[in-house]
Parts: sequence; structure tokens; C-alpha cells
Amino acid sequence: MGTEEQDDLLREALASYAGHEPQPGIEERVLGRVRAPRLARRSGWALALLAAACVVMTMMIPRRETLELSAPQIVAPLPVVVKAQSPRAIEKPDRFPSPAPLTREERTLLALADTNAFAESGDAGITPIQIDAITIPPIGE
Amino acid sequence: MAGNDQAEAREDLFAALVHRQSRFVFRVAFSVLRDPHDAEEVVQETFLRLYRSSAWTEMRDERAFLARAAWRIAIDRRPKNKPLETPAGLASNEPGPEATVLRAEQIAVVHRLIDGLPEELRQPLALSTVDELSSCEIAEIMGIAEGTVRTRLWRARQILKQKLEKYGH
Repeated sequence: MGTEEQDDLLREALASYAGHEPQPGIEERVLGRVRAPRLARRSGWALALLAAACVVMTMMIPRRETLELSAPQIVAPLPVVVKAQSPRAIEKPDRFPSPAPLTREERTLLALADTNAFAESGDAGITPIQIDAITIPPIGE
Repeated sequence: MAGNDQAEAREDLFAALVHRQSRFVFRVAFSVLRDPHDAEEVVQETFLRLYRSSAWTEMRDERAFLARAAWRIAIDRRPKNKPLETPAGLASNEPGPEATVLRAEQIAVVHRLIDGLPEELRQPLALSTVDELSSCEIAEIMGIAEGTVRTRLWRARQILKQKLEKYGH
């Protein structure tokens, strides 16, 4: 191969070295790739907003129920009926203070008093204690 | 409303830029990666990065700017330990059934020889094949002096010629 043929071959080979053409539609694919993150970001925001709305709704529903339950119920107050008593109906007691039934302690005390235990025990031979008169000699005698 | 109009205008400008330069960016990426799928990935990444930054609105030379960006992304994607291409059939003297087939084989061999060049020589040579980028533009893309680009191009061509002679073409 001569120098001229060699140069031709080199020239032709170099011309085709980077002469590969991209597949049709590369522009659209590039633009699609460029726009994809923005669309994803937008849809991401939409999804986040939707999720937030769902959370708020789920929080609001039980709260509304509790609010309904705990809400003060306005009920018309019942009228208080006070029967008027005539002064003649009130009886005047015989004694004042009015006698009340004895308590348990009072009844026990009365039972003890009725037995006369102390009087009977004196008759059974128990002599009363006799105490001599106390004499104190003067000092120095 | 004014904000929406501005955003729409910005979108239209960017779409126009993509339609204007995506094929050129593809060729730059392909010259580095030699794989159409990888090259398209680079194109998409280049425009995606560009869109996210506001730099594209202030580009003076959009062609050089995009070529530099795509070239850097492609370089990052290129495997570090690229296996050396074996020029299979280079020494073969078997004539093809037709002259066109033979020519295609020869060109494929030269492509493999270019792939086998050191990266510092291959990259300026590959870029020089993209839409006939000038040495000045290649220098700007690669961030080296224009004289260095010229030297590397010359050396790359010399090596290719030597190999072609060595293998009998």
C-alpha cells in the first residue's frame, strides 16, 4: 500500500471513527430524562399532600366523635316543686329536745346500773378498808 | 403568571439547545467511548447536569462548552484498564469477496488501531474526527495547549502509519 493509499485509508477510517449516528429520537429521550425528575418531584409533592390530608382526616374523625360525646348537652332544668306546708301541719313537740332512741352505749350503761352489783358484793363479806390516822412526830424530839 | 411565562421560555430555549446540539454531543461521547448506548447515556447526563445548573444560560460558545462537558463525563465513564484491541485480521491477506467488503475490513482494522493508541494520543485524534473540530477547539475541550494538540495529532498519525506498514497495509 502506497503512502497516498495509506493516507486515504486513514482519512476514511478517521471520518467514520466518530461518524456513528445516534438512534432517532435522541432529542426527545434527552428532554424526557431532563423533565422526569421535575415530574417525579411534582407527583411526589402531590402524594405527600394526599398522605397529609389522609392523616388529618383520620385524626379528625375520632376527634369529632369525642367532641360530640363530650359536648355539653343542654337539657332544660327540671322545675323544683316545693310543697308549701301550712303552719298548722307542724306539730309542736311535748318535750324539747325531742326524745331520741337510746344508743347502744346508753343501753349498756343502764343495764349495768340496774344490776346493783356493788351493793350485792358488799353483803358477800368484803370488809371496807380501814386506814389509821397518820401521826407525824415533831423534828428534834 | 410572569413566572410561568419565564419558565416556559426557559424550557423552550433548553429544548432548542437539545435539538441543536444533542447529535454533536453524541459524536463527542462516541469518539471517547466507542459504544452507542454509553454515548447516549453521556448525552443525557450532559444535558441533565447542564439543565440543573444555570450555566447553560450564560454559555458563550455552546458547542465548545457542551463538547468539553460531554468529553469529561465520557472520560469518567471510560474503563481505566481498557483491554488493548487486537487488530484481528490485520496481517491477513485474504481478499474479500468484494472490494467494498475488503475496504470495510481495512477501516475496521484502522479503528482498532486507533482504539489501541495511548489515551493522550487517541483522544485528540478522536475529537478531530468529530464534526472537524479544530485544534483550537480540541485544546479548549481537553484543557491543554493548542501546540500540544497539534503534536499529539501528528504523533498519533505517525504511529498509525507505522503500524499499517508493519502489518502490510
